Amino acid sequence: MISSMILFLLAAFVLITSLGLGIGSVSNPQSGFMPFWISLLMLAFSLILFVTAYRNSSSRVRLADLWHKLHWQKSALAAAFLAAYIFFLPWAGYLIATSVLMIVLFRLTSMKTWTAALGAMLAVFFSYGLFSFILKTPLPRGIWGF
Amino acid sequence: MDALNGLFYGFSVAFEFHNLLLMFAGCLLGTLVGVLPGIGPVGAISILLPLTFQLPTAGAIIMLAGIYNGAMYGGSTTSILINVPGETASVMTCLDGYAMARKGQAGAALGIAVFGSFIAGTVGLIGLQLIAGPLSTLALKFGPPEYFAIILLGFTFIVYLAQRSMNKAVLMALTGITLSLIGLDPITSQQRLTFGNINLFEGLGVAPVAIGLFGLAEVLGNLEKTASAKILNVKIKNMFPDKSQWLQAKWAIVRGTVIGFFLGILPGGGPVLSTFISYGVEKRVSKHPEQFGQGAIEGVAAPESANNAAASTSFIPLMTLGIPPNVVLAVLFGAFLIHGITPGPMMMTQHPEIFWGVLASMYLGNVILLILNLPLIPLWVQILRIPDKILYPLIILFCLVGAYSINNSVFDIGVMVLFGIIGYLLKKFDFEAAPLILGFVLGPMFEVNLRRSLLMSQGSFGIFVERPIAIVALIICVILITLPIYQAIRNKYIVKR
Repeated sequence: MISSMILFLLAAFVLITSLGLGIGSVSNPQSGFMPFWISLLMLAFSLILFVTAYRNSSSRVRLADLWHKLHWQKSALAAAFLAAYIFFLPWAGYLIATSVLMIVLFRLTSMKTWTAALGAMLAVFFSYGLFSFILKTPLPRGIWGF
Repeated sequence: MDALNGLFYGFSVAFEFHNLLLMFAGCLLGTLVGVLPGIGPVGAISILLPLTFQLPTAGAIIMLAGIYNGAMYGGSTTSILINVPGETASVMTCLDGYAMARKGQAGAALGIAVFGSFIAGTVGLIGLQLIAGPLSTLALKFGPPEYFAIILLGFTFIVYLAQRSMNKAVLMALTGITLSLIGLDPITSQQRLTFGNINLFEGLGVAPVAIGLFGLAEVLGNLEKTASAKILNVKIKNMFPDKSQWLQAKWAIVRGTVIGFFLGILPGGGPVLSTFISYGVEKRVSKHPEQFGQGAIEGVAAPESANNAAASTSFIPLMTLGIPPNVVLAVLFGAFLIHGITPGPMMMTQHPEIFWGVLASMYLGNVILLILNLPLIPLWVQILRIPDKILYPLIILFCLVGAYSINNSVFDIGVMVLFGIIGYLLKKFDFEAAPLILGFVLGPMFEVNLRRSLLMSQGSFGIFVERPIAIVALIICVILITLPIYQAIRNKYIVKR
């Protein structure tokens, strides 16, 4: 039911935006033409999904059951650190930001701290060498210039 | 250029030293990806795509095709030895492959999987070689109405053949189309859904979205699992199936090849679906169906042949019509575009070195994969022993650098991480990501061809009925849409009675 509501809201947003873009006519479709019809279909199908889920309430899975007996904290932490990485990367540069991230990720997979640090260094330097020197990809340098 | 001359020309391209090397690297990486559970060919092609940026276009596509075919070969190893499919197309191989391994027949199971894959993959390539030319010539006559109808047919098939809820598959395809609308309008260049963000003017990239949905999401999902798979401790011997095993498996290979051949061409079909159907058919026609699931060699031969035949023939709609029939080819379609090539009917004449070069390299790749997979099985088994705690962070690192290096943009990393989280949640809520990525890739073509058709006909939908190919495609769409509704009503009626 939650997923159908999210999709319904997304469709409603696209529908409103498409009206602002201008739908045009069938003989002269404008920029909002496709978003309008696609979002209308999405609204209809998300409503069907909502009604189906509501009517089958007995077979409905509780939200908590989806994460039951799982180390969901690990996935949540990994996602949170990845989000933080995006913000710090332009500021800290590839070498520092990625090293910190890799240590955290290795620790999340239950690796000991010093092994995680060593693994992170190796992974970062290998990837830096591969992409920066061999594939000539200019990786972010950060405020310190590396 | 006829098919035979084209093939000779293709071999001259494929035999160039750097192309041979790239094909070998692609096959090796693909097999590795197939062997390792947790990341499939879609994620692998997306993540490894940046490695090909510095390569010549033909070499890059040859390498990516090698990864795809390699993953199809390698997926069986994990299915047979640890009962965990390396990628989705190897799910059915687990049933009898693992049972055979437990009975001490791991070698025969791996052997028949490899030989079946080789035979089916080669037959699929012959089909690609023979059909591609005439289909490209026919496709040159297609206008916007035909393309619109064929893409609509593709969407209908994708939804009709969805492995889970059809309603959810429709929603995912529509979400994919919506995401493809972000950026500048392809006809009027007006900004749509960009929120004034300059990074969104060109829309979301296929690669960051695919890496997120199929690479990062997979790792996030695996991170929370509490137990890892155990490798069966068996000695792998007698990789060459004996005469009786060949006799048992020969028709399964033939049937698997035929099923895979046709389902590979079908939009929404592809290797995954072909394995399920071929296994089902095999069980139905078998004189001893009770042995399926207990270690029947046909249960390994049929799905492994089917997925490789389908992997080969799924290139037909991509290379001739420019329409990717499944999710892996959708990512490959993105790779073609990044390298400045638009797949379609003109590819054969405008870029023969790529068309025939890729085709010939796939023939060679099949031979290389046969060589790689038989004697190197012990090596793949050792690779399976790499602990998850090393593997998962490294996959995430490759996802990050892969997403960044496409446009050297941190924004693309953000897109990748966002879609990684979305992909993880989609799995939780039982949504398939494949219709989303196909909707995303086909969305712009769908819109442009619909709008051009309407402009051509001055708003008359009759244009879709006047063209024979379009009307046939639309009739099939109507049948596919009404069939499940009819079946649902019929089932309700039967239950009531």
